[in-house]
Amino acid sequence: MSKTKITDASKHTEQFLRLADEYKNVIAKVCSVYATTDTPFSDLYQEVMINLWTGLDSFRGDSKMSTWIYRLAINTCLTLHRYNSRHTIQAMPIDACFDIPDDSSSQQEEIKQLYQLIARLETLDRAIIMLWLDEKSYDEISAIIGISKANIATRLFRAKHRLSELARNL
Amino acid sequence: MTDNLDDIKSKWQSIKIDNDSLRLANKRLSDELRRRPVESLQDRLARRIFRNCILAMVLPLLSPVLYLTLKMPLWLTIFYAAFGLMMCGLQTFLYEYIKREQLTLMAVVDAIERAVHFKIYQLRIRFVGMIVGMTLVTGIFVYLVDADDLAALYGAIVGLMVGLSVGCYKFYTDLAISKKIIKSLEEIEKESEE
Repeated sequence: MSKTKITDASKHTEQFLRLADEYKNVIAKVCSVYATTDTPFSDLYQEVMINLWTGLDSFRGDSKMSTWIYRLAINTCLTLHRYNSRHTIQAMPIDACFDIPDDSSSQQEEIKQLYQLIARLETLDRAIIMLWLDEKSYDEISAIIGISKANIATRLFRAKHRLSELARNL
Repeated sequence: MTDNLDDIKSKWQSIKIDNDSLRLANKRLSDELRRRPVESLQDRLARRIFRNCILAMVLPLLSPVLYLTLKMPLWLTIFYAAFGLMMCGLQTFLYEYIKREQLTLMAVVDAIERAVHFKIYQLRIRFVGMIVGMTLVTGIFVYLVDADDLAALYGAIVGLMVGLSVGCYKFYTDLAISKKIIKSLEEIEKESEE
């Protein structure tokens, strides 16, 4: 391998690790929301990371890095589901990767329930509600999802109503 | 579990990821990715389609054997080879399409739309393949009846029935799912226009 190639490879790895570290929470949350028993968290997380590695050079700066990462993570999860013929909508336990703040089992249980609630929403609503929970602006949600802000507002209103209803009936 | 959305939001934001284990996993993955070439999900799918192209190319390569050894009529041999070439061409088009479109980097709705169109195109190829393939098989049946090769004929009939049932079932279920997704995407677009 030539010296230039080695330098390029190290730069690529360095950039990958920097982004993976900066956005690991975002990626892990997206993967948890889309994890099912047939497509577990670990598969989704690994697949997103592989796509981040292979797609890193395609980032041209047309959008914010966070927009790019969210798109990459959500699309990868949806693509993996599409090609997994036996997928179900059952949420996957996520204990392995999450460290619950006060380590109390009741809180851990609540977070699991929260993921399960979100997992019961429609595919697109799941992404919209997750972005809202992460305090993303309508402009950014619209750029990630690819529909108008007005439509985001309508769908978000419905998704919030549904989420609240599901929580009440839990 | 509270139904208050503000509480749900703060609960969501309070989730802490096990940073050390993820950092370690990322490091291990980057070492692995550096060591050997990796393919994205889309590349793997493209490779699967490419395998179908190669599989379809087996038919024209086999056709001289059918003509020379099994003494199949020339028109049937040419039909057999042409079927393989046609399937190979259609699959190659699909392969190029997948390689060209970077689904994971698009806006989510655009990516879903492209994926569904791709699925419908794939189903159409399967449908065309089934129709032309059945015509070809019928031709082979006629030839086998004329040649009095009953064992081969029965084997071909059983194979055809099983293949056709599985093919039809998969075609209709996949098409129904794709149409449902397309319909919901159209509804989203309609809502956007309103």
